[in-house]
Amino acid sequence: MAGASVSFLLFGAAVALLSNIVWRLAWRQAVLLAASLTFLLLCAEGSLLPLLAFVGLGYGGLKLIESGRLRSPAAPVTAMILIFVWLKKYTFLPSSVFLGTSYTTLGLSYILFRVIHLLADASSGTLPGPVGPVSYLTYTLNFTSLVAGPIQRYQDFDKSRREARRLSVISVGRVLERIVTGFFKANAVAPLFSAIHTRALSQVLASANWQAGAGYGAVAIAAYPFFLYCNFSGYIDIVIGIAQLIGIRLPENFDRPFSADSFIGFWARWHITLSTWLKTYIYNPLMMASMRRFPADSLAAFWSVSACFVTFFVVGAWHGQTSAFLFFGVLQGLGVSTNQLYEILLTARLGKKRARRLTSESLYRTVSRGLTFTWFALTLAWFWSDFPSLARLAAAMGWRGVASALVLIFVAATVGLAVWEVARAAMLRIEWRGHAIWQSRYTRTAWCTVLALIAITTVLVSEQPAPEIVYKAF
Amino acid sequence: MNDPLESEVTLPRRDWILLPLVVFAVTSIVVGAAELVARAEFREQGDFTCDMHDAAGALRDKPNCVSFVKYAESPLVEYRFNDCGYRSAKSCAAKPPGTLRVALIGTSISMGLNVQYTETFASRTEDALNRICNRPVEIQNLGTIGSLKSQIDSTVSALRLAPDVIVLTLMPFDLQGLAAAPTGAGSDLRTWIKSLQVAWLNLKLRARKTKLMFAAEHYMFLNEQTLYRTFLSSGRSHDLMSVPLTPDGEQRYAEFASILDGIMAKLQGSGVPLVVVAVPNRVAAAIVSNHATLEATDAALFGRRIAQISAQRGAFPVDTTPEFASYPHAERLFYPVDNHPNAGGHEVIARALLKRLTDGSIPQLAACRPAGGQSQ
Repeated sequence: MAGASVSFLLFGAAVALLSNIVWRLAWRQAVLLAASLTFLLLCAEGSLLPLLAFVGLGYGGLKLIESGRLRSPAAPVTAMILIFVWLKKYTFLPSSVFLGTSYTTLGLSYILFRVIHLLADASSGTLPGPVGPVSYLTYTLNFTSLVAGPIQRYQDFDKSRREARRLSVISVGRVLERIVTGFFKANAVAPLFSAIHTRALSQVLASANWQAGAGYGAVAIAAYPFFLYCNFSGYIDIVIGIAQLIGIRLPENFDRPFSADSFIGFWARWHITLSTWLKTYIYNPLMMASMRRFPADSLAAFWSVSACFVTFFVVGAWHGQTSAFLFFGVLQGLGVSTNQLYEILLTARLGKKRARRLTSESLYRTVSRGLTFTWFALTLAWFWSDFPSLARLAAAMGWRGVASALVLIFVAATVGLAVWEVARAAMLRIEWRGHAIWQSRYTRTAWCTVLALIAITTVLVSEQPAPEIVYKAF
Repeated sequence: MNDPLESEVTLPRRDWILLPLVVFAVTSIVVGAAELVARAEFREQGDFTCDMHDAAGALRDKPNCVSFVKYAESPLVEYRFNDCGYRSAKSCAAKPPGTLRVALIGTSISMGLNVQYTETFASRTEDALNRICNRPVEIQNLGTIGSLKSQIDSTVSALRLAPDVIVLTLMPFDLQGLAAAPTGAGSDLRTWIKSLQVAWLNLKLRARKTKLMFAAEHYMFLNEQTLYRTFLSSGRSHDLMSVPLTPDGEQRYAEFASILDGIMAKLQGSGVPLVVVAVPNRVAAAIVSNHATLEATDAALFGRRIAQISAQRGAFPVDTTPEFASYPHAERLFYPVDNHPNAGGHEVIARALLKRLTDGSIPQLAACRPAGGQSQ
């Protein structure tokens, strides 16, 4: 059920119905807590005890800080991270230290993010007040954001449920539109890209010459980002919709990431809540600590680039427990810090005004968009594969094939994304009697109906379990 | 999100009617148009009017009957039955002296469902044997749409034709129709969940009756990855290829063994050898041909088990799985939804069968040795 499945939708609908019977905060909170615990029980594979103990430890740390017995969050945060690494069985630890029993780690990463945020903000006094056990549990185990986020600040969570109003018919319509779109993305489009990716991979290994290998390799590498986007953002659309039905406004996690014209911009549009969290709790403290220790202005740029590297290395490394994911992290860090360094050098050379003029030119943005996509797609290879498998693929394609595949992706992404941007803008401009047709609720209803029909047909025909959400594993 | 409707709080009264109408109209147009296109693409034509129930209640084909039928995925096929109601070009009258006669028994796969007569493995094998054996060879095809159990009776009918060899051909779906192991009674909650699953399955089956669903399924199953995922999650033949075998799978093979015992009992004393041909289904052919590795699955298991059971009972086994494995993308040798082999699939079966019939192991066909003594 922990995916973009019909059963998850039904579960969400049932919780929403219950939640709306009595529009009182206490009732909604009780329903959310019961629903989140039920969800955990239904989805957990193995014992729940280690996960619940982890959540309990976090609460203990929070209370120590709130009571003033602990001033700094460093000790509980370090302890939580170490326990997390142990429970997640990171490969650099000897296997003999791991628990022998089978237990669930469903949503453990996201729980860690929320707990660290609570500990840090409680220590800095920015929480709205003491966090009670029910609020703590509903916040950390909230079933709509447990599996794969988005990562919400406690302040926003608390405010949204306190200020929530009963949904109007129009709001319900918007929520349904969101859920249908997400369901369509996760159940109809993502599997299509996944199939293209898998098929192209097998064709790379069977290709007779480097030209064919380059073609299939380009398709395999380029298809994966679209799969991941549809899989993850589709699920996020669904949970944001369900959360709204129960009076919680979850933060947005995606903002058309493939329209980004720089790698920094890309991470401001992809898994936004993770980037924001890391910026708040890693990048900013790192920058401040560095600047405080070495306050020279001439070093500011260096610290900024270094902090970017560290932050986005953590983004990558967080995704998995193997060396491939660490390398994925290095590539993310390299991408963002190089981008940052380039911007600093460009501004230094051209001056702020000319640099801004250059970077806002249409051709520059188009090429940058292609480059951003190509880099992200390439780095994802260490996300969906590992070193030995990638070595086999590279051997099958040859170095000429690998280079040609990357050039192919760059050209196709540059042209394809530019065409998409132009087409999208043109579509949004179409008007009838002074009203944008695409924004009319009739058009949107018709469009959603088509998406729903396609998604339902796919689910009915495929006889497959609902697609796993890739980020559920992290 | 920039939502132009964000500022609106009430829905104009007319929209309470208009919006549901939009949904209804779009659904009708999309579903209707798609159904029309699918009906044109997967049209069916003609009725199969040649089947009847005999005195014992078993399904048989009428003597001297012809039907032209096109099923959704197949071409328009002529089904012509001889004076005994067998799908054969030659009469079933007394065997002419010096002629070798091979009788085929089995279900729709033997009959050559969805394939023109000249393209069936029966016809192809007959042609090849006539070239190789230096004497007339005829095949009487008793295969008919029916159950595997009824092949015990078909064996009796086949023996009346005084055949030199009898060939039984089967696919996994022939075993799927056999009784499943009863499942243990579960708790109330499990029973309730099970009934929900059954209701969902029924809904799917109803939806599948539309050509739109059929078309969707057809195109999705052209993709081998979808085929594998579907097989793993809900493949009805999975029981026969799972490692280790499920109790259901074990029971179906045991059931086959018991049917084969029945057939061998009928053959006892006749001196007519039985050849058992195991044909993989589409997904198994795809797995072995594309060298795919599926969790807890042995795609070659069906062929091996059938061959093993047959050999233990004195029949001559033919496992066609390796023959399918030698073809790239062997899933293309089957109809995606219907699952029967197409003309290409029948060619592969004919090749595997011919190898066995001409390898010298069957004394009745000792004269049938290809030039150079090697089977082709």
